[in-house]
Amino acid sequence: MKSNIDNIFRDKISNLSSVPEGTSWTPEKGWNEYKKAHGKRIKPFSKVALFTASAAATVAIIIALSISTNVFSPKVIIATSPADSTKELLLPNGSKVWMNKNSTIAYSIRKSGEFNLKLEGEVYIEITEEPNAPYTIKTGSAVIAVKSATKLNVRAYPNDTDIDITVRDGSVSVSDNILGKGLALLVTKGNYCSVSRANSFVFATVNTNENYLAWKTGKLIFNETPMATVTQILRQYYGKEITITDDSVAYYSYTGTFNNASFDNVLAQIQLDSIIEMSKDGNVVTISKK
Amino acid sequence: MINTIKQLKHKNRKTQQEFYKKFSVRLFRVAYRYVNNEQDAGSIVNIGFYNIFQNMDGFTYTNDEMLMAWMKKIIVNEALAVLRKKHKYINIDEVDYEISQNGYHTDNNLAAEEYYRMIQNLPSNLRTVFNLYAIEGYSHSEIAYKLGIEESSSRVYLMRARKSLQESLSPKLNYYEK
Repeated sequence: MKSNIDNIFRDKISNLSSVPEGTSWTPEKGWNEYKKAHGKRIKPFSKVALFTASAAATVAIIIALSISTNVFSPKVIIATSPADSTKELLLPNGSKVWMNKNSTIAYSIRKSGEFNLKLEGEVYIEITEEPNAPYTIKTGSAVIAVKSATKLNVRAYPNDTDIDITVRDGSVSVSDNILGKGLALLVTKGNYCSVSRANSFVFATVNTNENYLAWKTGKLIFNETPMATVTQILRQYYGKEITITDDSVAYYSYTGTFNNASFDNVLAQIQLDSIIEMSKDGNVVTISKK
Repeated sequence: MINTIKQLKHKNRKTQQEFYKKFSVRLFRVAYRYVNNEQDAGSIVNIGFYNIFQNMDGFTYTNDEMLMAWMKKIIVNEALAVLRKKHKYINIDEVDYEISQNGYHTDNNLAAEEYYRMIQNLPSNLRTVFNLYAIEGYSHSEIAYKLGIEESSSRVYLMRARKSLQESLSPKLNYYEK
């Protein structure tokens, strides 16, 4: 319940538009700092260079992992999924793993049962029983500690700006090992956690993306979903470039379900159902109003 | 604004600079309200803008209020991350007590800046909860989740914050009344 005092303070400070008294910060100072920190930005044509660099980085990680195993470390097992299909595995400790395309996992199991897994790409894991030894999943700077029987999806492709961890069941503890040592966020069923690659910023919130497992189930569900989000999801799922040219279409709500549909079928269906018009030019799809 | 957003989606540097100049003061005030120190507030603003510019791709502009609300959320989350490192939010047990809701008039002689400063002067835990509840409009269950405390503790922190602000308000009003 809001009390009088809440409203008084909120109203009083709402129109303050100058820098607080007693501080020496100014927008100019702030922008100079910003420029220094984020000076060079990557131009579009060098995205190719970035992609090959990250593919190389993935290989480097795997090699480094294999080299770092010494006599006292348990054997590291590596699995990769091809570029055009998913992969399913059953691990020796009973965990079930589904890997999305172009993904890699490297895991080890100690005699004590202690389990460590490092991943790149996208992986859905089902841990069927509460672990009785430390169970850790790592990707980038994110460290995920599994505390109970859990089902979770981790998306961490090299080109993703954030690492997305969605908990379908159970609970995990997420921290980042660069800035947030010792600080962990508990993420439970129905929630998701995002770890930023750029600044190690970790936050968790309720998961509203019904399609986070579409890559595994082939099912796409849109329920009054704004077209801007629909295209984001289609872009991610089919890997095709889709642009909305008419801003008024961006928040038009679309409702529909697709089961293992082809990209063309989805486009055709959406056009049938709504006021949207799509045109395809080679590999690029443009969306506008009819 | 729609054009500005379009330019920001294309990571146009000049537009970013103008956008920063336009909104940074308000966002600095939000950050400063939480962390109460200029250096942290400055870095939160810059990390915040980095996130804002990076996430422009997936952002759908509807109106200025929604834009501001979205940006404030990013700043608040970043401020909380900083606060979490510096302070431990513990659960507190206290018998719930109601503050008397006697109406108190506001004296327009008190500058808005003074109200802002009163919030600043609250101890960190009370300040955070008051900011989140009364200014940003989060619920106790959302606050409990963000700070890793019980809902009941959030309520107690809020009560204490209100009590403290009430007390800061009264002496000032009495002074002016004299």
